[in-house]
Amino acid sequence: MDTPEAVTKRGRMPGRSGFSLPGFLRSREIPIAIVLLLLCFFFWQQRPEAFLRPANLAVIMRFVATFGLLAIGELLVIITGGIDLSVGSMTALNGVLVAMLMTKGIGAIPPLNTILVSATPIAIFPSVILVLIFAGLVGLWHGWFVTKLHIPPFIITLGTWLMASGAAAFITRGYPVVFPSDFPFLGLGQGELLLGGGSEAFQIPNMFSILVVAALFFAFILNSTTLGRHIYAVGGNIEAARLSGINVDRVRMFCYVSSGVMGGLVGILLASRLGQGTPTVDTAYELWAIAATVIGGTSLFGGEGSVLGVILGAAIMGVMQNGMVLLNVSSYLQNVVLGVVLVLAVTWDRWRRHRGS
Amino acid sequence: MSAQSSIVEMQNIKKYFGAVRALRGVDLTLHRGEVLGLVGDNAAGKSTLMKVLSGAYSPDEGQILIEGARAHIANPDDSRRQGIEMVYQDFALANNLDVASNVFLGREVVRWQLGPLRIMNKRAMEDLARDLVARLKIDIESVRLKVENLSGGQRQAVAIGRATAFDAKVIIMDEPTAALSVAAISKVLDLVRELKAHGCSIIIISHRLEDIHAVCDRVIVLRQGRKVADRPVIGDIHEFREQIVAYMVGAKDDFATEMDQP
Repeated sequence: MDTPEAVTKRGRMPGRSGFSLPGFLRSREIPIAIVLLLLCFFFWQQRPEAFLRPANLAVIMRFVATFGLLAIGELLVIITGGIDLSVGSMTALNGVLVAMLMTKGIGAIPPLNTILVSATPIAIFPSVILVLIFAGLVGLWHGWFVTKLHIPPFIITLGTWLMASGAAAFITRGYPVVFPSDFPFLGLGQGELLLGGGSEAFQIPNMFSILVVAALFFAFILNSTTLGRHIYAVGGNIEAARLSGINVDRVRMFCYVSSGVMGGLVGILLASRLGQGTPTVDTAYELWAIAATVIGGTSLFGGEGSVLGVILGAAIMGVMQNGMVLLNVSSYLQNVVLGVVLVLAVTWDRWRRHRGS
Repeated sequence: MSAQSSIVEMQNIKKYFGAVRALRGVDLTLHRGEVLGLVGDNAAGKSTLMKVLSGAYSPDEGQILIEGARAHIANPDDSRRQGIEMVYQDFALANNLDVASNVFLGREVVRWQLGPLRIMNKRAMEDLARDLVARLKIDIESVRLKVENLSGGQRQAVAIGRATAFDAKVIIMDEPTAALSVAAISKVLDLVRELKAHGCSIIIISHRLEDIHAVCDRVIVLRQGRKVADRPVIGDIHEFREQIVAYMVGAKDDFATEMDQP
């Protein structure tokens, strides 16, 4: 590899981008952020006493954390030109699993309960690690089918979606696995960081802090590492990536595993948040996550998207959903509105891209 | 020709696809600093021969010498390590990435390594790419432009520039002018001359005999998996075209043997 020292010392060349309004508007994230701010302003105007209350903001942040985390995993897969439909029911299955492990132990999980005699609860930390490993292995399974057997990602993850939701219901026989109310694990999803004092202290839910850490980590991967660049390259032109000597299978595996792990993580956080592993709670979460990535400017054709955009996308959905609740909009109508927003987002993105080229 | 002045020597290369004899014992020598044209009708074996050299195919028989030493080329990476770069007909660029990213794709400049994560030195790559673009006189505003915003000619130039970015000794171009406008073609041909001036040895596969005539020193004609002509490019374009077409359609054959007669 060439030594970069000599060239890095040199000054900036002309042609480096300064500020320009058209470029500013054509960038992916800025307009999304503006829309988000406008939405916040609107709901704050409508319900000034409720919208900005710390407790309400915490509700929004938990929503954003849930779908933001799922959407980050989805983003990686979608950039490579794939899709992961399994994350919703994987969230449910992993939530059930983590609850089973902590309250009853591995031996209590059917069909293992017929083989293993003893079932003792497992400590919090090992349970979490076990579930994350399981979720990662499921991602590896997706990646293996997609890269080695050339099964369309839509199909293989749809298979997992069915299997995971079925397994979650089978394991629990449809009943939630409830934690004791003083179980320390529940602090993970229910706790928050308090800024300031008193009853109106600003609350940052732990879930949101975890989202921030995950977002920074994956933004770093995508922007600064060779792996990140290869992820974009695979989405842009997989053949070119292969001819450039990139191990495209390994890159895609990484993305599916990451998506699996994010599904596991959200399952764990929601189990903690709700105080129970519920086999049916997370239906269609994958669609919400995909919607968040698309609103955030990710192209479903692959090759484009950013972590920041996806978080903003999740935030738009979270703020809209919360705002509509504050305005007493019927929950059926809420879905209609979110659907309209999704369509508008995709249409605008198309338009932006056409103008860009 | 002695081994000293030849940079690539392919000897008696044979390649079969089932019953199809794609290459029936082809010899090809490329000299240092030479631009060699490789022509022939469809299915004559040009691309197959170059894919053998670039490692995309392995030959059933025959050997390859690089700078006089026997080379084992089993995959594109081996070939690249030997200093052989291929410019593909469809450019093989990631359109969603910028010029600098494409130039360094798969060979990023790494600032430091963090376990399995390799952190890129983007600034260095941009500066090196800018130097490369300037050196080859490629007409691109900024190396930060996404490839999807470039014209066909600019994309071809980027693809060729990428091949040269890593001290390639030999550059193979598969139909570099096939999809381009007239103005873009002349730019690409200028680029070929520029590369030659920098000491590169180049093989060009092309259907466009006027391009071969314009930049090549020598031309090899393949027909039905055999070499039928190997001669310097001389004379005016009309004379040249007439001769080469005669070889391509089988009216002339400099290497005919009893065995090859149908």
